Amino acid sequence: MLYFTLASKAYARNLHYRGAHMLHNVASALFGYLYACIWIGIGQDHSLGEYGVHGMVGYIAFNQASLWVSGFVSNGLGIPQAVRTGQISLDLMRPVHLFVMCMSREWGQIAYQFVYKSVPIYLLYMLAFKLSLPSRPDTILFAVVALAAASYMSICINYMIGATSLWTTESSWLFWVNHALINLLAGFLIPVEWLPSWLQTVGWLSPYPYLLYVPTRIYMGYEQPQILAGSFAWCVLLTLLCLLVTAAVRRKVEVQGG
Amino acid sequence: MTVKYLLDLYAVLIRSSIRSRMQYRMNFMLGTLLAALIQIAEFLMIAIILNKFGAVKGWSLHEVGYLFAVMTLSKTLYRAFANDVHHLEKYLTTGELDQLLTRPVPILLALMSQNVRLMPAEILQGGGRPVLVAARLDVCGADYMDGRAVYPAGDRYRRRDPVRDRACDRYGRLLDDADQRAADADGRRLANGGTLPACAVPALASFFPACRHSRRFCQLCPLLVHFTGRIRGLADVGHRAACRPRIGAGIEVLEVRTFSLSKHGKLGKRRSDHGSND
Repeated sequence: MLYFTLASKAYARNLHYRGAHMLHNVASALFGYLYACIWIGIGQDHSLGEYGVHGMVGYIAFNQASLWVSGFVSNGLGIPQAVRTGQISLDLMRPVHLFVMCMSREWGQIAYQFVYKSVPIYLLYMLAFKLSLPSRPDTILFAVVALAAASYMSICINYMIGATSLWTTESSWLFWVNHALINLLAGFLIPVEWLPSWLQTVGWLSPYPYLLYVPTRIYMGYEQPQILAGSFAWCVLLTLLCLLVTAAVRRKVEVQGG
Repeated sequence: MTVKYLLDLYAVLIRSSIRSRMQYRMNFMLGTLLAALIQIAEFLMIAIILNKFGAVKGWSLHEVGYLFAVMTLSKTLYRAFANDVHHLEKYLTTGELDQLLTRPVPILLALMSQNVRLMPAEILQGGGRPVLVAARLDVCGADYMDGRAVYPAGDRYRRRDPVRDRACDRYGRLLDDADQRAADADGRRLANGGTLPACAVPALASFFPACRHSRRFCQLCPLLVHFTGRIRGLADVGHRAACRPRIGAGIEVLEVRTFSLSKHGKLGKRRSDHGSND
């Protein structure tokens, strides 16, 4: 119940900024449109493999909408800010596990972003690019499961990024590196199979393709649900890493302010 | 409150801002390294697409690289010196804007002096990439592939940037003059056009449009071409092709000249080839 309250409070806090976020959505949709235009331009002279031009536009549209649940997670789950203000010492004293507390808050944030950002942006693309929903409802279900797993993985990654701020004083650069790697390795702009082979190998050794590429491929009907096993395996591995990191954080508390 | 007073104040504020940032040296070095990685990853994303598909609506990899670098540099300058103007929302929501409003300086100046940071990775990549790209792409927009200048599809560049086009004509004439003078002086022609420093000059000049019309600047070009031609000629092994497009009255004429290097390090002409290219 406590965790649900934490999530619902984070959701409710964001509701105050709905108007501003709708403007953000316009900007985000425009970014996606720019990326789609790259593929429309390329598609004039080349066939775009199994996707085709319309398929690639759909791929970019779904990725741009998904980014708000699997890519745009709070910087370090707010831990760097807590280190800077000294709040982290109080957070660690609470009778709640730090990882679970941060995760619960973030789930509220992600739920808000899904409802007020991903869904409106994708609806806009559906109208603008004449996209259609998958014919089978279970495809949507599996895509939602893949997105939920992607969100969880992203939460874990950002938790570890946030935890590094206890050692490095600032972790915003790691946050941006993570974002750049999502763009490159998660198949945000380029499907992973079109990357150079060495980069594909690097990509599949990391959780990044499961953040965007796998949910999108499932949604478009190119992948079977069995691929979700990879997502779940990464979820388990990242959870273990987060628990290890929390144990290390408890022994190394550093505050910079307060 | 005079402009001089405000500028002095701004200088003091950004100095203290940079000094406070540099207290965390390790963080600065790590940040620089990671910022360089981010830049590489971002450019790699578009480079992979262009490498796989050739070009996007006629824009080659080198042209996009040049564009990317100019964008990086302008964004970096803005983020380095006016970072917190971009983050005004944060000041509004946390109430920190009220504190800034009570200061006896204009609000824009107060914001611009907050969190000023040196961004060497971005500046080096934003400023350095045009130089590298210029080795393959000269100011006229010719793409140097395998030692031959490929001047693609006629009037595309003229329509795109008439200012650059005028500079290009002038630069082309100056190259001719430099060649002729060099030929008169020592009886051989110099490799030019494809040399990196020679091309870097007009590439860098494109940042400063006024330079392209400056007589003094244009006088500098043939000098650089002259010297860099020699340096590159001596440094190269075997033979190299030097090529550049010459722009006539609406007709692109490609001149390809190949030079060989004797064992004494002197350049000799091997082949001359004239042809039109579109």
